[in-house]
Amino acid sequence: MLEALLQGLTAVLQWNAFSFMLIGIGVGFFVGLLPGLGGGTTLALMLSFVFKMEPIQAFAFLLGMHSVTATTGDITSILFGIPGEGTTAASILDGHAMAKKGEAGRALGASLMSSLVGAVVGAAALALAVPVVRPLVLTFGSPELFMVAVLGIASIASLSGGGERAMLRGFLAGCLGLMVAAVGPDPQSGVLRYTFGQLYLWDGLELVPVLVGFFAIPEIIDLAVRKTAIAGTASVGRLSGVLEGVKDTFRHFWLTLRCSLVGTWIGVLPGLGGAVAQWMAYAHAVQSAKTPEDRARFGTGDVRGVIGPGAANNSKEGGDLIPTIAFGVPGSSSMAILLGAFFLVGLVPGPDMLTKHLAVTFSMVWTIVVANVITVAASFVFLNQLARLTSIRGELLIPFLLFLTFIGSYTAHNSLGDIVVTLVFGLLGYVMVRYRWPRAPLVLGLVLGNIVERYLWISTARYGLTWLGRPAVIIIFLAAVAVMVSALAQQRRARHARGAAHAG
Amino acid sequence: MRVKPESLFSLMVAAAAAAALVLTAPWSIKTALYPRTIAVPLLVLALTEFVFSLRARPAADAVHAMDFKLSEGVDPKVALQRTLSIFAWIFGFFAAIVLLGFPIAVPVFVFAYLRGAARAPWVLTVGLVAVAWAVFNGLFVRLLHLPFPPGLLLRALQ
Amino acid sequence: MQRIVAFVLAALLVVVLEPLYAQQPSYAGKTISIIVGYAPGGGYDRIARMVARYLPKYLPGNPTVIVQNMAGANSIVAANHVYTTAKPDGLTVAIFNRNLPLGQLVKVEGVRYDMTKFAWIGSMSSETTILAIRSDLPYRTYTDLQKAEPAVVIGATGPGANTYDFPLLLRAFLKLNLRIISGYPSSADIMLATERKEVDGRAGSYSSIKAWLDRGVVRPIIRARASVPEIARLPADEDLAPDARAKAVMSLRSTPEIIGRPFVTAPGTPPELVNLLREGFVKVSQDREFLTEATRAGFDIEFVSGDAALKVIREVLNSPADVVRIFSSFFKFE
Repeated sequence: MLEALLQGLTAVLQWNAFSFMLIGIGVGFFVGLLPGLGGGTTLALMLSFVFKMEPIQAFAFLLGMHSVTATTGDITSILFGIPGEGTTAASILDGHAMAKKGEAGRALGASLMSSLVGAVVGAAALALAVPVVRPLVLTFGSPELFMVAVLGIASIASLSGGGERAMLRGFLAGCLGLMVAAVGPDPQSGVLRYTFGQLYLWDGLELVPVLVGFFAIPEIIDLAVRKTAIAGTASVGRLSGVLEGVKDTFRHFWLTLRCSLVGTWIGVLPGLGGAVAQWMAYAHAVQSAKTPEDRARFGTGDVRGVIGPGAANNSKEGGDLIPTIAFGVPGSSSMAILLGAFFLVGLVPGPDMLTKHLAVTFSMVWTIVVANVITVAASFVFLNQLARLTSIRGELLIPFLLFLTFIGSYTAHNSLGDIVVTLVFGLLGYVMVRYRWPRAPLVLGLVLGNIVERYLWISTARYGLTWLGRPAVIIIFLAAVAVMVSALAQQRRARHARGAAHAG
Repeated sequence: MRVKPESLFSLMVAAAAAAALVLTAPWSIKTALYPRTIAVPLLVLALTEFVFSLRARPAADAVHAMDFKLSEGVDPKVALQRTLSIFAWIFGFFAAIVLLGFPIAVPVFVFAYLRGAARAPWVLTVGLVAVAWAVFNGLFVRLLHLPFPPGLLLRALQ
Repeated sequence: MQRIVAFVLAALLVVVLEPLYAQQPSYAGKTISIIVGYAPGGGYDRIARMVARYLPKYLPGNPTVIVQNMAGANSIVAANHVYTTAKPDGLTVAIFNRNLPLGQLVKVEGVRYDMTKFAWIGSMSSETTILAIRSDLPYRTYTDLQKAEPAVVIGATGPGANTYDFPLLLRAFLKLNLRIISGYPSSADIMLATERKEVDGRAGSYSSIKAWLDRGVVRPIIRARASVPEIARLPADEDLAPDARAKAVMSLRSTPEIIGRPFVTAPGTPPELVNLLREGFVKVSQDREFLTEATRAGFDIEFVSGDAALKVIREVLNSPADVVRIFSSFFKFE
């Protein structure tokens, strides 16, 4: 196995494969940056060129592009509050808040560095998982997937904010999200729900138009009201800003590592989708804060809120590849496209990739690592210039932000319906911010809704009620309970502290 | 007991939950189970929030939601005006896209906003419009071949 | 004398050279858009992109061919769009879900197209649906499945897909003892569930199951009408039907599979342009490199001409009312 590891590395560094990787990185850089240009869509476009390539070149090209989008996708989230990809919305909460405090450089530095760490962890997981991957993936059946989704919903408790009222609103938002997820065909029998005769809603709501409107539009409105630069009156820090962010990643190294593991694990579980990892990592970052005052800093510009999702996004890549390579089951929609590449270059995903073609598998591992190292290194060169954008007069930026928002959502279906969805959720997002309802739980509900429904039905239809007794199911359920209990306990302690402070 | 706008919001959510519940009536159990399971807690929670919001206790109720807060440094009347104005611009952009089609609406909107709302100097405006047009055309039209149907007005004129 | 000869020669020249400067349709300098009814990455999108790369050299004038995605309502949106708004100038081609004629037949709400009025180019390949069961189970033939106890668990994505529709009819008409569990997000997930022993097997297109057949994970039991040589020896569902009505319904489900990857252009397109496109597509389907790439990608390329496709469409749309009624009771095409 060790020689395959080295073989993979040398193959990737050969000029042939390496030059394709560089092209991929170049493409991926902008794809991640621009809202609406999805990593998945671009993969489909690039697939057309892969036919004549050798396997290692092909994957250096494709993965070089794709593994980088998660890294640069955070940039527009942080600078402008517009999610560059569907998977980078969580970075907006604290990342953009930091930009508004003048700490854009620091946020960018933290985000990129944690992305790199996450990518390495994910790639390492892929490499290490090779001997155990098949039993690992086979343990997680539909009941386990359902429970993980329940765990995700339980973590809403941590994403709501401080106080019981905030938690009430958090679960309200979560239920709203779960409800919105019901729009479209029901997973069991395909009967259309809540479509009101609109052909556009036949497939349910696409995530990207919703996210773009939900997060970007309230920020744009606020920017118009403030009439200042994004960074307000704070002076944007210079190089120390970015370096500070890098140092932050290492200051909170265990958090970075744990969030990377969360991301990898979610990636390994096929069927959970890409958007879940960032929010669960964010929830974990919140839970790692011990005191209520510490937790209250999330959402206002705490660097840990940038590190968590940043790491999870990238580690998810490595995780996604595991079921894709070992079983031919895509860990996400982008992986489904990548599967096409396997066949085009003459490979068949499955046990062969872990034995006969192990070097190719390891070349993918190295591609993720090398591509991210190059991207992060290259980005540092002009991160400061990018951070300066937050000092420009806000009103000059607004037309471009709106342009990016609208075109970003349009590319979901190439239909005006996408923009209508963006506007509707933009309004909803604004109202929720105004009346202090947390938005993150709604997104989590939206993303998890279909998963919860599907796997609950499959589990019950297949196993009756016996699935409740499966060991993995019980363990994950206890974890969900622990999450909720700890959040409630925090509230209780906070209330007692406040009571004691008032009494004293 | 004062009815504040935010009480209205939670009431609307409750109403939506009730409506969603009613709409599930004709569906089979396979289709209706999930929406019903979600709509009921949604209704209950929304009504709870509505009741809480009617009790006027502004100070203690400063809810810290894990999200950003709208800027407070601006005089409320001015803030309202600016909010309405930006809403108008946003919907205006959408209307432009519907009437003129994306390719024309983008430079028109950028120009209109920069001159109209931002009062940017002519040179800067023209420069930025050119940038917007170049990015839009080069990337989304030429490179990606995204389909942009012509606007309603143009179709009427043909 | 000389002048008469010159005159005759000139006249002859004019007559002989006439075809050269008569209006010859050409695509020089033009761009053809192939509109795909699905998001990038799926089967329809991939074959469209492959065709888009090889088509230009087989059309006069070597146009640029681009692909645009218009996903929505299982490609009904794309079909509607091309039917109602595309100009009949040979510059817009569409590819959509092969089952859309069935959607028209059962009068799905939202359908605004008439399949017979499209200018049909043809289909690049046909689909072959099979039912495959885990090899470690003792079922080898369809009679085994009829007698299976407990019921064999089949994973499916949902109604409207062959993963669900095919076993549904097998259970209803051939009385195979199947329990269909639907809701899996994709057929690849069903495959994983099979390996996990959560389900006992699945139905689906031969090309998508082939890798697992070759590895011996699953065994093919029964197939639908359209076939490829490797599985021709399997019994076909229609042939086992107990009566004419059942056979007609099963046949109705399978018929669109013959036009597995249907390409059309706008209604009212002049015949010369349609013929140009047809010839172009035929030549693409015979291009050596295209065939290698397409085969690797899992497509079994076999060009079905536009006329043959139209015949298939008319056959579907002219189904007798009672067959349609039974069919609709099974499938609410959503």
